[in-house]
Amino acid sequence: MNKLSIITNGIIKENPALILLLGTCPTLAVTTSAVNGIGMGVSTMAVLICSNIVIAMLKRIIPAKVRIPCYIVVIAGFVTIVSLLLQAFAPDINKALGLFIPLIVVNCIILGRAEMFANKNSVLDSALDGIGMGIGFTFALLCMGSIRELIGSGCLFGFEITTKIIDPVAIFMLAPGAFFTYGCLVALVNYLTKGKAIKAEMGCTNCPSAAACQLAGKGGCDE
Amino acid sequence: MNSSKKEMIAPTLVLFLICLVVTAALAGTYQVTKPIIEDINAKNANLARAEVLPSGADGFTKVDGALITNVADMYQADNGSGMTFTTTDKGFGGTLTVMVGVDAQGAISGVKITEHGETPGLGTKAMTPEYLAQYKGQTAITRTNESGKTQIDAITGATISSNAIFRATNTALAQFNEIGGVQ
Amino acid sequence: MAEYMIIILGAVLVNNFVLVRFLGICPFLGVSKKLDSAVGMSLAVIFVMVLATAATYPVQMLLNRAGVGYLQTLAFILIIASLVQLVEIALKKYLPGLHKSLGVYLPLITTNCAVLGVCILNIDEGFTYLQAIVNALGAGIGFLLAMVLFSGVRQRIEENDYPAAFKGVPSTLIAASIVSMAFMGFAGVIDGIFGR
Repeated sequence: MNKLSIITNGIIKENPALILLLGTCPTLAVTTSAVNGIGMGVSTMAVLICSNIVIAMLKRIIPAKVRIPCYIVVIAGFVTIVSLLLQAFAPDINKALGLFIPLIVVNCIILGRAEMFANKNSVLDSALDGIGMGIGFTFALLCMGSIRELIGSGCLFGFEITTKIIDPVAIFMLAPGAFFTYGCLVALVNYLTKGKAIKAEMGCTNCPSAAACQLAGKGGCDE
Repeated sequence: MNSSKKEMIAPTLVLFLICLVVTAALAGTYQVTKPIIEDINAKNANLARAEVLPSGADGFTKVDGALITNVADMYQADNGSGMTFTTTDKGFGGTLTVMVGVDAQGAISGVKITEHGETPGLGTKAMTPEYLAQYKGQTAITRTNESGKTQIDAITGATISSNAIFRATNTALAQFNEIGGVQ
Repeated sequence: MAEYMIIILGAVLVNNFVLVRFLGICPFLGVSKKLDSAVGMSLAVIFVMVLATAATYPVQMLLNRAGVGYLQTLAFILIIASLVQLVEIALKKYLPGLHKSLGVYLPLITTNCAVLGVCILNIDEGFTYLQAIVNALGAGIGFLLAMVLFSGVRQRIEENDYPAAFKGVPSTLIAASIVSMAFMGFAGVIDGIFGR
């Protein structure tokens, strides 16, 4: 596929959070505000691009047997680097994202793209895929974060917008609100694509553990 | 036998090498960012101290001494006008860290929440300067109706957060009394 | 004794790992459809969580002593991955029956944020070794609770008629939001029972 379509693939056709349904944990957890959503999205994108590039570079050297552990080590390395850089240069974002920064290491998106794309494609293509997926993820997080911040506290990016007009519904900033907003967003995507975009629920095709999983050949977790 | 051993060695070796390279990269990044991070933390801590004990804004020195439970550290203003304590307690969303300033007479000069996991919009209502102002000037506080102590009100809908802040502040006062005030 | 009860109740109810802390959502959405796979997966998760905590806690102490605390993420994930691998091999060899019911879920758990999450949380919350293990146990039980609740909920949902756009994952998510709201009610329970 041509270079531009690789990028747009990650944003629209195979948006990791809204279509592939990967990376659901951070999508729910850190989208309490638009800024946090962007912060997480950009951090994940940084790790994704770096790990995609390195794994694509090393794809001929890494033996198939140990490829998952190798990918994990590379990804963990970049996550720690991003974490240290955030602590030094953006401590507020670091505090807001908290536990979920080290958890980027097990973000299915990164391991998934390493397994699905980076180990089969060129360094340039993998980098572009990282950019596309990263932008798509950030976009989804931004949507979630904006909706939750606006309804939950009446603010957007810290600016008061509706606080004087409507009473904020604080529960949107909490766990139930996260599930609800995500559910509605995915339903919206379903509606707009007439149910065609999101294939089998959490099917094996996109699960990063598919290579190691014994259920993969037998129809996956749903049986 | 020989080739299957080779099959085990090569992958393990590659994994090991990658680990080494990654660890080296991390060590390098850490060396670079460590001074910056320590600097930021020290600056923020000093700013917080000056905020809760404005009279001591010129400088604070750490005080070594017996710390009671939930007290992380204590500092004294260089001019002897009071002390600051960093205390912790369990709030609604995890550990709450509070910086409390106590003047030389044992009265609270300021309370500041430095770290928390409380709910924005709910628990954070108990962290506004307006709410925390009721702590100022108090030497003995309580949440119930005890004589000789000032009753502190919680915020409706943020009881757990308010109580955590209360306990943390009370701990600071207890620590102040424990070491006998300004050294 | 009371403090361990507080930790377990906290991890199972008040700060339920799936419904409040948002850890382990991927298997939660994917595997919770059938009761037996839900239970199987959850038991495997409990097992791995406790073992992983037992292994990573001492490692963190070593890392801190060596002044390389920043290697936490790398070290933990490697330990968890190897541990799961070893456990799978051991199960296959010595407990084939158990391997059949639990073993298949083990590789999935390696990349499960719930396991890495509980290991890191144990360190962050400053627990002692025993408290950390109890917390991991509680976290796993909370996961089990959420999974079992949901396999029931999902089976009921499937039998009903609702807008096509919501079929599948969206319905589970919205159901999760309602159950999560119910769990919020537990927040004051621990303070109330143990009188803080």
